[in-house]
Amino acid sequence: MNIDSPYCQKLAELIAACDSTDPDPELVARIDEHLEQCKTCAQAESALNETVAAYRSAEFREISAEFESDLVNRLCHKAPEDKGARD
Amino acid sequence: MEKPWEIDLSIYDDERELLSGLRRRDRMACTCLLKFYAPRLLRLAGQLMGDPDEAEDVLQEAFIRACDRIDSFRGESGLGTWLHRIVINTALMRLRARRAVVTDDIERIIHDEADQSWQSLSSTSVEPSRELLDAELLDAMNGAVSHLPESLRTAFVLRDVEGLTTREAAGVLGISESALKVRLHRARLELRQKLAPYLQESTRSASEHERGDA
Repeated sequence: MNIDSPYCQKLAELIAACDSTDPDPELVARIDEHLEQCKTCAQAESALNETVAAYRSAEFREISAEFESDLVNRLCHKAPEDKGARD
Repeated sequence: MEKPWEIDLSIYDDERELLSGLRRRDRMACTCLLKFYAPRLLRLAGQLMGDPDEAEDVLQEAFIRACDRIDSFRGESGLGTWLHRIVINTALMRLRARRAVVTDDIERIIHDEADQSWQSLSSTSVEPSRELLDAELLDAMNGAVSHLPESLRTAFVLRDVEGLTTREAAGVLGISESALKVRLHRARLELRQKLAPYLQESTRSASEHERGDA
């Protein structure tokens, strides 16, 4: 398996045709369809997925004891405020 | 003084107990909150901001905001989900404040500049070894993600890295599921373009490995 370029012009065109805020679901479905059928995309997506998996499993960065202690002090000494935030 | 690392974290295993402790401003509850959520949220902040120092600022601000508003947290979502949303909102607010004007055009210009510097960087890479490639690839991935436009980076981080469902990620960002999908496709296509030398090498190595095994 080898790919000349992981970039696919057809995919780029399909994506470019989609509106960012309110895309046509049919166009979005065509992108999914293309990704399933295009060999270049299949190879590139597979390689990218492996990379994303490695990136995802990179260890969490520990917070320093000093940072933690300082923040705990701020959190437990701060008077509660009602700013109306809702979950 | 009580050392945070000597605290029995199981005391606040139950989320309702933890919330109750946080509402009392109990030191142990605040420490448990950080122990439970800070490492993951710090990584999230770093991925969203693309800068480790700013990530700590975001984390600090987010936890302070969360504790300020803990009395109004009604538990309709999980505490972790709520904190996620606060971290994301805090990060997005900072990203917006960083720029005088936010438009797609400006994002594109910034992005294109990043692309150019990326291309000159990647063109120096010549047939790296597998190990070097893996390390380089992760570095490259970090760089590529941090250079994505904000709207694409947030979609990618929430959906592909954090593993939220399309519906959850769309909900957090306040956009439709279709819009989320388009942003994700754009992000992934840009990453494919930026990581091209590494992805090509990766598929080539896999292919050689398969041939060697046969």
